[in-house]
Amino acid sequence: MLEVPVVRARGLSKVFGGGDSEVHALRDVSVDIEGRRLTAIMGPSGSGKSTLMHLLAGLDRPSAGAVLYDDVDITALDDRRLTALRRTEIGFVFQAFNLVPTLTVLENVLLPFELGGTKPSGEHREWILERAGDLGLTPLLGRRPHQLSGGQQQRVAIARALAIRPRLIFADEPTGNLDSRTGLEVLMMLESATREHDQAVVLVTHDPAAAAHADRVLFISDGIVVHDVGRTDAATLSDMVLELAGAR
Amino acid sequence: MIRLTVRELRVAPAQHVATLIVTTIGAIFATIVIEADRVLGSQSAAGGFLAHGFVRLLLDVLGSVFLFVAIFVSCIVIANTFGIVMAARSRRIALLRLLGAEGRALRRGVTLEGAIVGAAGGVLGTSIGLAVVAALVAVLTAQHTFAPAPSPLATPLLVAPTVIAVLSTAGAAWFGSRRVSAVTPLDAVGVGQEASLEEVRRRRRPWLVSGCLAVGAVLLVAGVVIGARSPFGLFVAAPGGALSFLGFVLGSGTFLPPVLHLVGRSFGRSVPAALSRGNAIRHPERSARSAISLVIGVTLVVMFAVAAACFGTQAGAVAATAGPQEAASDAAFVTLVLGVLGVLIGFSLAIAAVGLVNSLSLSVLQRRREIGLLRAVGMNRRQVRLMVLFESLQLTLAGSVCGIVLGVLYGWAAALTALSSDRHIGGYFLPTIPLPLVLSVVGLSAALAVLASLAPTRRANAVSPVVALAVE
Repeated sequence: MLEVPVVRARGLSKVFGGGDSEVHALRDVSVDIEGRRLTAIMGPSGSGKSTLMHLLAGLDRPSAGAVLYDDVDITALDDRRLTALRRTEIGFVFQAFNLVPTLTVLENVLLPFELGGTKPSGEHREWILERAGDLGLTPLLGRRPHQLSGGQQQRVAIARALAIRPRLIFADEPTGNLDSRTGLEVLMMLESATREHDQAVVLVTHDPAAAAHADRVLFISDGIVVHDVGRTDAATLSDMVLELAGAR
Repeated sequence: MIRLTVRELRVAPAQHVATLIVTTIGAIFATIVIEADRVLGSQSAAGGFLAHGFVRLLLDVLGSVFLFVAIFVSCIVIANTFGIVMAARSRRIALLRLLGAEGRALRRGVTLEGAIVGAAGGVLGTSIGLAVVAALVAVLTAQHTFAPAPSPLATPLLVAPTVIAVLSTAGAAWFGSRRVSAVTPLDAVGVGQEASLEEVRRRRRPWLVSGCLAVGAVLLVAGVVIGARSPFGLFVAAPGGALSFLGFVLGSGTFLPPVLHLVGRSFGRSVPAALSRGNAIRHPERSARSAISLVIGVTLVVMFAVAAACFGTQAGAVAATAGPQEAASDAAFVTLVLGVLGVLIGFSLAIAAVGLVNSLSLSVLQRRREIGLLRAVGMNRRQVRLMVLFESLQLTLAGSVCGIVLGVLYGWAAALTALSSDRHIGGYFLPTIPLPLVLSVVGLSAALAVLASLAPTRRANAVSPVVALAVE
């Protein structure tokens, strides 16, 4: 089954610094991120996986290359339009939960709408509340983030990302601050988002156990995509990581 | 967006305590100036108090200048406070930017926050100011200094402090929140970095700083020259002084670090001293923010003290050449002016202290991980305490040195402008520098440094090495 790509990267390069201290974080990377799939980006620290995510999400500008949403190259957009793009097309889930401490759970989930000065339609709002229910948030909607456990906070972040029905969700080490059982729950939720709500999810991680939940795994090393494999079990992924480490 | 603003105010009001205090102090001051002018007016109509026409004119001029200065200072301190609040909130701002908030919209929200806090401070300050004036009038009437003239306290003009507080706080909040636009969504991911000295230099729009300094200096000199003929020169000199001072404040990111470095060198070579020296220079913006409110306070204190000392010296000259009645009237006037000065000194010191405590706490808060690292590699609590204390001292001493130099200059200029037209003084004179005051300013700022470092030190020493090294 071939999915339509939701985001295409073409010849992406990113150079940090200049002169003697020049660092090539990415070298001429071209990938398609497909819809309704969980795509994992793996690689050791400093491999360029975070840089790739930042560029795909329009958080940073590449030194060369293009990031295409449909036929729009977002690297050419001004801040205003990038902001609107993030608000309407991209969901984020991070390691550090990233909730606004002064808002309740429900307000955090609806925050992207508030920021855009819009309100979800009645039907859309119900859909959001259903998703919050799926994530077990219904009894927590009136609470503040500091009254929640780490796993609960991360579920709020997932609900917020799902709420805008984005083109794709970026999850950057979403299990990094969680114990293994809670981390597993979070991964299953991201997985079910792709199955049940046709959501494209990009998971950035260095943990083979997390990447084993993905439909597709991209390995990045020294700024280049070195492997591009389908669903793979954790042990094999782990071997691939070790092999890469040896090769370095 | 308005909901976010209201929420911010309701859930975390503590971050605006400093701004509320400053606007309240400012409004108290404005109220007292307005009321004092009115009360003294009715007093001079009712009795023989302040019959000297020249003195009445000068009092009105000084009253407006004082008010102008107070508003100006409050604006700078509030803008700084908002800068600090925004720095503390930058992670959250970055998150909102990440989720698709526009920088402009966020800034509008912050400005609204400022306006609301300003309104609260304005009303509160006006009430307190009215109470103070009423009490003072009662006391002075009981002492027979004032004739028992009936004077209703309320006048339509009393809306002014609140209106000014709202406008200036909103404006200062808008200006102070300019870093909101500089926060990138990447900061939410933890990649963003604080600006280095070079970046600050490049960004600081040097033409704005040098333009303010140049135009301000020209106006100041012109005011002094006009002042040789009429005290109205103050209306030229005061904006000139304010403008040149604004130039200094805007350029503080480049002017202050060398002074900080110089002061830091005097603390010796111990590890805490070396570390604190590095800290103060490493984040020039943060250090300048911390020191500038003190510079403002000390400049004002010294300026008015030098001006008053000049008044005192020159009053002697008046007494020698003019008749005793005129001299006595002038002496009463000088006493009055000194009283007003004392009040203003109190206000500006209070404003400066609020600013300093605020920014030192933040400095420690932002360096939690670094302090944890130092503790982990073997720095003991005493050394941490010394490090924070040295940093605090460095800021206050550098601030007071700059303030003293600027204050003497401005005070001298003010005295020249206001007095040199008096026919009994005739011409220019050298500044009278009140040495005890200068020394006590240095002593007080050192004490303030110790006081301001207490809470941050406790917080720094509460940091466990393990917690600080963990990913946040």
